[in-house]
Amino acid sequence: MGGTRRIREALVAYAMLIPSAIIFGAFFFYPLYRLVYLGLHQQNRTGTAERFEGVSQFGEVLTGEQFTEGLRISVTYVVLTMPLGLILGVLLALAANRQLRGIKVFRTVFASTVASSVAVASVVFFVLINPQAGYFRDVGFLSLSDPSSALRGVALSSVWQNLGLTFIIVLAGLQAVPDEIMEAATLDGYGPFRRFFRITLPLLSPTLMFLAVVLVIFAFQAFAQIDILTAGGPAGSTETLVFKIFNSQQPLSQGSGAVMALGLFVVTLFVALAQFILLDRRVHYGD
Amino acid sequence: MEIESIQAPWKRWVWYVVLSALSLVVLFPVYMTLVRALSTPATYAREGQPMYPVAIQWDVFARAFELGDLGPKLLTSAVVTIIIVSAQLVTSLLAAYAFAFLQFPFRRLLFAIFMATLMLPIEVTLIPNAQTIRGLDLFNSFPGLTLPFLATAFGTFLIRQGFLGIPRDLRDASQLDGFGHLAFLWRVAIPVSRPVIASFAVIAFLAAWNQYTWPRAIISESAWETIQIGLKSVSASTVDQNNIGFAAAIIAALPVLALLILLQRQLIRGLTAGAVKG
Amino acid sequence: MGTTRRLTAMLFAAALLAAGCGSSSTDGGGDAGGSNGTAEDGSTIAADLPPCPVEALAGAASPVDVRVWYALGGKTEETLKAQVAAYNASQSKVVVQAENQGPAYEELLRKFESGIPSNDLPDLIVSEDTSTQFMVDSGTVLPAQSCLDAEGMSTDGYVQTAVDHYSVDGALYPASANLSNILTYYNKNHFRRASLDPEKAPTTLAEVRTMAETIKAAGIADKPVIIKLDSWLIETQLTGDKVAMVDNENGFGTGETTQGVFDNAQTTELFSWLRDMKNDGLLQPVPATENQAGHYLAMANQTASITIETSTAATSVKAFLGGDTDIGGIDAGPVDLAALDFGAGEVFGVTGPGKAQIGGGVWFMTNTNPDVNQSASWAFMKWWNEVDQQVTWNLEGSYLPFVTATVEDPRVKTYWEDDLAGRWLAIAYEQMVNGVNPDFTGPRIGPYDKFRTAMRNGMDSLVFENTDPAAAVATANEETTAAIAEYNDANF
Repeated sequence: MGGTRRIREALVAYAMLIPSAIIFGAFFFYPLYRLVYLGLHQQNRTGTAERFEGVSQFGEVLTGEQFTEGLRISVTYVVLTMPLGLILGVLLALAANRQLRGIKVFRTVFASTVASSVAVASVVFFVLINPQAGYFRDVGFLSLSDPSSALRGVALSSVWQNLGLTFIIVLAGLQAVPDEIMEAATLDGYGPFRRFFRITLPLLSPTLMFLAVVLVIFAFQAFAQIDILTAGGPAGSTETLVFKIFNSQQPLSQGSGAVMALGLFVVTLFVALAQFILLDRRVHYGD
Repeated sequence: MEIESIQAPWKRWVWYVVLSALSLVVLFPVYMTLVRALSTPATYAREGQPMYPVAIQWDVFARAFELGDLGPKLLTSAVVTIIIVSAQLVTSLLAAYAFAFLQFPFRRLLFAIFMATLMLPIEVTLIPNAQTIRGLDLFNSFPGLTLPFLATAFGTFLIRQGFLGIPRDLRDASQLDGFGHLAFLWRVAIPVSRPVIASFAVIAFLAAWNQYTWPRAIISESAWETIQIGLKSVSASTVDQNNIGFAAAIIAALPVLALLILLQRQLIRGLTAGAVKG
Repeated sequence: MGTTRRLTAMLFAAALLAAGCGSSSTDGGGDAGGSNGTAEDGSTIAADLPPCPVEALAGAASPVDVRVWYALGGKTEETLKAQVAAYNASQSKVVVQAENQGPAYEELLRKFESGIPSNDLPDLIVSEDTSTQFMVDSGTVLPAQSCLDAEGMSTDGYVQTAVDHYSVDGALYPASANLSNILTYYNKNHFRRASLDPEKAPTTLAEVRTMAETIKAAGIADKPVIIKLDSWLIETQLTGDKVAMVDNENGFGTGETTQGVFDNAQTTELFSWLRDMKNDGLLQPVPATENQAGHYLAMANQTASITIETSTAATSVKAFLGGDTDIGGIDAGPVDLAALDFGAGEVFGVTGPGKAQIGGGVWFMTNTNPDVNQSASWAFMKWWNEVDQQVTWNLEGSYLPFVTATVEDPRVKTYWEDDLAGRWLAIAYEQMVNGVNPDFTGPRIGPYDKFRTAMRNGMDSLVFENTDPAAAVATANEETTAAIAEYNDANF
């Protein structure tokens, strides 16, 4: 009696999981297998035949210049966007975390960049930094026509776009800090800086850690901004891993593209896990 | 909580100034886009790129809409988004229900597997998925644009969280009342978890509306472009009148901006779920 | 100053047209593919050519959709779209749909390549002139020669050098060609002020240097020469001096092309010239990114005096100067002719001017769609090659005529005599007809795009990272050889 009920429950459960499972199987796990398969083979010029290359292709591609350059650029992109994005988000949230008349307006403004898609943000920043007629075109530090600075210019568009998201989340985190603690600290004579570093920041750390992981993942997935602002140029200085993968869809480069995609997968996984582990130790839970 | 209720009036004004300055900085890029969208490019360049519009062409938005064929593109984006969000709601609700309320073998393992898909974004699975869709002859089609996104582990996770918060008593009571699973889901679980579900819907909407990489890979006919992809083609094909490209960007941002203002609360709740421990 | 600023927006258009410019690829021995066949009238077609289903269209019950993929922009794209609309309106058997596949030829080719395995291809592709070897090797092309033979038409009416350039074993592969050439554009007023003859464009590298030095010394422009670092800059020079870039007779031989051979004194000389000009403050290098318009802007702002660009840009450049200030609804105000005066001349070269390659784009018909589509594509291409259409393509699209009779058309004659841009196009046409050596029209390389990337990387590192010229050339050559090896290796 209980048995059949349990069986029935299990069947219902599986039935409910099947729709998602089908999609996950077909578009997440099958591609994973397919990537490994493609990575082990070399396609001919017209994609009508393939040749087994073996694991050596993995080694070749992962140590090859295409992948290492792409990885370097992707990592640089992460470094350019994540810390700055966090800091600015925190600053905005701190500023807006007070009772003032009309504060809602300011908060809406700060959150507004969440409404822009990457494509919109890229076009918007094109207004500012395109080398021909951008408003900041003379700011050499961000110039899109110099290989040494182009990535910075592109990164700026991401930083701006992420402001809304980081602001919203950090603000919520700030608002979760209990009143009593802050009041007690103030009464104890803690100045604003001390309050922030000794109390707010530690309490905010889970939120910041979460955001850090999110921003890192976003940065590793950067594609649209490069596609619109620089098309990978100048001199390939903005070709992130995803950009290179996107341009490896043709038969000749499918093998190396697949290996690069797997490389990206492993790197993102590793970085996310590393962040969790490393930062988790520094995160302060409870009081 | 707000840590400072400002007493001193001058302090208050200082903050108003600071906040206004920050707002100007945040809005500056969009403002300049508006300026450039409205200005005649040649005149604007001649005037030395000022911070205000010159030789305003009020019809630029209409022209951008027409030249860039933005109407159909907005519609395509809308249809794709509605399909994706609806499908994700259905699949996530079902899966979340199973994980939250039902006992079955391998529950933990299956949950882990589901969550693992979060590490396989479309950027990684692009090449094989594009091949699959091409093989099914679904390039330039609605199924092609939506199939890989009909389910999401994020939704399962979020809604499951919400379901887990439903008190046991409620569950037991409805069982006594003879509610089957679907009835419980429909009559109790969903209404009670409406805030979480709404938040997820808003996030899903944003993600679907803003998609770029996948449509870029499988759309080769301009009639099937989404608004995000369309932005790139409009900007590229009107480089000599780039005010059209800028106007198109503003048009593309409007729908979501409206959403942000109207559904701010749900949006914030969805974004902050799982981020804030409090 | 204000007047020249106005040019800014207009010259963006020109930059887009630069996408149409390119170096040539020579015909090479490669897999021409195909099988023996007979034409409808029973005569044998040239060996190894597949038959062209010319009659299929006549039997079609409903209008046939012909998809054309291209990667053009600006005025050229507009003209193409207008022509397509005109064709569709003029008859009811064929409906042509033109789809822009990205601002760059590279992207167009990538998308095409991705569709080959599943035969998911358009009916016509307007690809870069350098794609010949690849397209032939892919086995997806219906050679125009088949259709010409089937209809008893000949290639006599086309520019012979171009026909030779795009033929494999005597068979013309593309159905039409968008021809262009490189010109030297210069600022006449700068020349006047520097006491240089405003009617004489610089002809050699040495002359460019001395003229630049004069202009700079006179304080007119700080870096008088501005050049977009594109591969065809080097290619044109090498081809003009009959220097091979790859083995196997520059890709034309009957054997297999296996390596780059441009690691030599001539290429190094060119690279050195670039680097020295830049280090001496005479040259502003501009990276060859998509939609790059920096060099146009500098010319427009008169911060530079000399540049080289495609002849296809002529109309856009002239549009400014000629007072046609209303382009697409933009009101640029009255033109101050005194301030900006451009001239154009044959492209300068190592030892002399006018050494050129066949460049631009080509129209390939694919063979992977039903006969009725192939027939419809051919019908459209026949219309496209009619003199009227070629005249429009020249006057408004700014391409040099593929059909020689176009040159005699009174509209073109008037244009080439009376119009500033027309005169420039005439120079480019002469240069193409006389300056392109029929025995040495440029290299033919399968992975041409990778060769260009290698060349561009070499120039970028030379100029932005100050790499030694010989080393930069050597690296580019190695990368090219590697790309060719990979290409050959994947032929199984």
